[in-house]
Amino acid sequence: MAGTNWYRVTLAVLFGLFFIANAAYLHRVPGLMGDEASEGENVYLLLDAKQLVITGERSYIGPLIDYIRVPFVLLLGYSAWPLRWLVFLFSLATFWLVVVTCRRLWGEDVGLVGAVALLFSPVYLLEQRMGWAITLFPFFVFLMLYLLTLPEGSLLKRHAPLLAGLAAGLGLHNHVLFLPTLVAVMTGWLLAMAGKRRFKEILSFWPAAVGFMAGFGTQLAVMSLNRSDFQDSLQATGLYGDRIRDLPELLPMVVSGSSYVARYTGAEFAPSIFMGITGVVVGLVVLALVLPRRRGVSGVWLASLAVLLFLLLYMVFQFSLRYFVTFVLGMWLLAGVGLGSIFARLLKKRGPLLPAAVSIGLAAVLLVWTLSTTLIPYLRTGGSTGEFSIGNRNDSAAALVDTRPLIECLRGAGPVYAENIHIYNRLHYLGHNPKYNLAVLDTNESKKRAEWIVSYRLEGEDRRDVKFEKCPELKHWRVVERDKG
Amino acid sequence: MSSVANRRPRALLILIFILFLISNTAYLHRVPGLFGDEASEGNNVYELLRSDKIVVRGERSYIGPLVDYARVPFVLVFGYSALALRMMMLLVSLATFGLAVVVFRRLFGEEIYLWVMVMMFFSPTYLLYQRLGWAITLFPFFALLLLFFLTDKRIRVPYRSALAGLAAGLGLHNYIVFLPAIAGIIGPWLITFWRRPKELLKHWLALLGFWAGFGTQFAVLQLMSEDQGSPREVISGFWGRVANLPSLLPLVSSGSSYVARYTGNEFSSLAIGIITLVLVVLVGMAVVSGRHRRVAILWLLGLAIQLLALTFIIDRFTLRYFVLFVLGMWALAGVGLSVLARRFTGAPAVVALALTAVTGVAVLVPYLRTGGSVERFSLGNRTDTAADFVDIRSLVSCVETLGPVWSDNPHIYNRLLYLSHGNEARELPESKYEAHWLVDYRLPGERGGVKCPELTHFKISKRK
Repeated sequence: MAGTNWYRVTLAVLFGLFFIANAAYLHRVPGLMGDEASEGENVYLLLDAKQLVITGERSYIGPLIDYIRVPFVLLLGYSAWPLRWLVFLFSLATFWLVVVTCRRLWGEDVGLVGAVALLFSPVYLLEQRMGWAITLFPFFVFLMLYLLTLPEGSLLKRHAPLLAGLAAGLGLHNHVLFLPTLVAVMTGWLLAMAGKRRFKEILSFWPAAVGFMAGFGTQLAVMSLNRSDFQDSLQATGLYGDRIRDLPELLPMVVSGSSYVARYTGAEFAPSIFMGITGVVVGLVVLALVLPRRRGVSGVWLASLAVLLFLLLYMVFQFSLRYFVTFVLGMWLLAGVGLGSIFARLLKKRGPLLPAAVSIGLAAVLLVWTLSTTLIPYLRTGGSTGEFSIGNRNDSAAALVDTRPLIECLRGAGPVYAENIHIYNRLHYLGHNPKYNLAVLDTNESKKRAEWIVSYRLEGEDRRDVKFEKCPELKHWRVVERDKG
Repeated sequence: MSSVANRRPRALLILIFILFLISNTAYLHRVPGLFGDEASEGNNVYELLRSDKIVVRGERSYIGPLVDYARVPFVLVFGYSALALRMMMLLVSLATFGLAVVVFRRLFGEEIYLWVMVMMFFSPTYLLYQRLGWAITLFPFFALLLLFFLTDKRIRVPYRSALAGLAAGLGLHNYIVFLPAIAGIIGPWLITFWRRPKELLKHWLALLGFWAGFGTQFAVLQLMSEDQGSPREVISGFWGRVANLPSLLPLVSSGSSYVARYTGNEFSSLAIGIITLVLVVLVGMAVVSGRHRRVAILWLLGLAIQLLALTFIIDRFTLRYFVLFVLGMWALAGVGLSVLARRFTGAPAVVALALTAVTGVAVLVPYLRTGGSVERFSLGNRTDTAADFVDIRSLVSCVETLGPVWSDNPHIYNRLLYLSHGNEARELPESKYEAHWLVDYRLPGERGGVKCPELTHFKISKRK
């Protein structure tokens, strides 16, 4: 397909599908999350501050994204929209970075299938629409890879070390859990350079350190001066062995996308399904190591993923779905490379139409899969407050339930409060938007002022107190008169 | 013949370097005596070595910790002493000399650069202030490093710009008062792009390098602003400080105040006037009749920008802030001097020797005899004390025999605290109330203390 219009047409179709898949229901699927709202709250504080703000929502989350959010919030108001629109734009940029990088690494045909497997994987479609800082990880990874793989004739080539370092630094500035991914990319690059015996090129990359410090310097200081909010992780490094032991339980759930789907719907895949998907992904990854002409690249990619995973396990104090997104996307990309290689091997005298059909077909299958397993159930139910397994612990799907019915219920209802921090964060953030007419108490205000207390309505919960509820019809929320719930 | 002609300036440079090395190394451990701010920065090294996390804050929020990390090996080798702090600065001073050779050659050419070197590196201000082991001593190094990258033609533009930015950023990281120096260098540099503004855009990576050097410190400045005073008040006093500049400039340009900080004695008004006048005449010659007058004019413009920016951001006149400005003046005077004396091949070495001798006679000999002074001297619109630089060796010997001592004067306390690390005999108590003895300065005319009454500049009294 190389050099033909088919490639461009295929890319245009894929980009169109990607655009629609990521833009559809962006304002309401999933419902605004507590952590998302908490980061959005930082924009409010930033606009309200009398001095330059250099701390993000946490000491380990940089404020740069908050500054970028400002025009979106000013334009669209305090809602899920502005947070997600920004991320959506980054996602569109990521599309092209992924496509170009995969083309450079595995060639046009195989690379495109790999890119599609990543960009249309359930994990990408479900997690990369959320408006929080961690969503930018794939963008920074592929920005680095884009710069590291620039061809000789590129205008940017001589700036590449500095800019790659800057991308790495900004990625780490954005969220410190980017570190495992960063180390993985560096490992992969060093392996690739060493494999080609281009040691001089490694040394000539010293300006990357300058770029890196330009991106990460302020955040390094912020983190060093304010360690209180990542003390848990520092203390939990001793439990590294336990986390490695629990890994086999977790991996099939995240690699198959089961847990990511369950986070929306509350319903995990059946074990046979998630083991089957994991088996297929692993099988394709193995083929990616054997079949392609550039199988060395696949090997380096897999080694980097291993580095990412083990460093990540060292840093996190508990399994949390968002941490594993980059790893899972990397696996799916490699699986896509395996799939692309099968077709490349089987049909050596293929026309340009076949790789196009494989890529678009794969995208369509993955879209339909996510649509049927997640979007349709979610639109029908508005999410769930059930729990699901992520290996060694359970997590709640309540974080993603639809918040719109709750906001409708609370509109003009008088002072409201929530003990649950995730609910409170959402209400407080949306409370800045006059459109919603919410009277949310500040944390320093007496809770006695509240007329209504909001909590989740857990599945199968006793409904005896329903007479004290303001909106008993709410499926996932309870809005109860204070002192009566 | 030509090889002989080449060898002569090189031999001259070597001779000047040896003289520079000797004059900056001599009595480094004791002249001047360890002073409070130096010790306070040294205490940061102690804190850093005891800390179990990365330290990103220096002695103050506006002083970066990089210099503390650089000090670590010196403290480990030389212990907690003045020498440890100053040996590092000596090495930086040698590097500064090397940078100056390259930079001044590029700017002023083969025939003049030695004059510029000599006037700058053998000025009383350099000899007296660039041996101190505190962060601000690094200003000339960072200024010349910045100039080195800006004037380099061998390194490719993106890297050269990034490195220039990094030098500026690290200089500002090191001490916020380096900002006027950056303005003084970048301002004239920008003017050189007057007719080719598009060329300037190629240097955009300088911003990246700058941020790489200054980013951490910017965060520290933002998060820990309690020791930064009130910027609004400082700015409001700008015009008052500008009005007072004429009374300060002769005192610092002539080196009088720098000498007085060691000895307590200023130069006579006549001497101050003559030295300043000579400097002004030489600077005038540099910008009027020198072969490199375009560079000289830009240099002078840079000094003016630096001075005004400095006066804008400082809350009061303090000697250390003006060192770089004075060195810049003396360097430019060197250009003017070359107009008069460039026919005399060996003359730069003679001037270097003469300036060293004058500083030796005016400062070193009296200081070695008296151990300094606790007198006050003028800084234009206020006075300062020479007590900071007094010799403390006899005080330390005395303290070692006394038991728990304390000082309410932070400058004395900081010195005792720094020297106490790793030395049980000098250990300070946790609080004043555990101390048996109090140390203070012995001001002129005061009687000696109850212990070690022979101390000329300190008195030790019993805590009541």
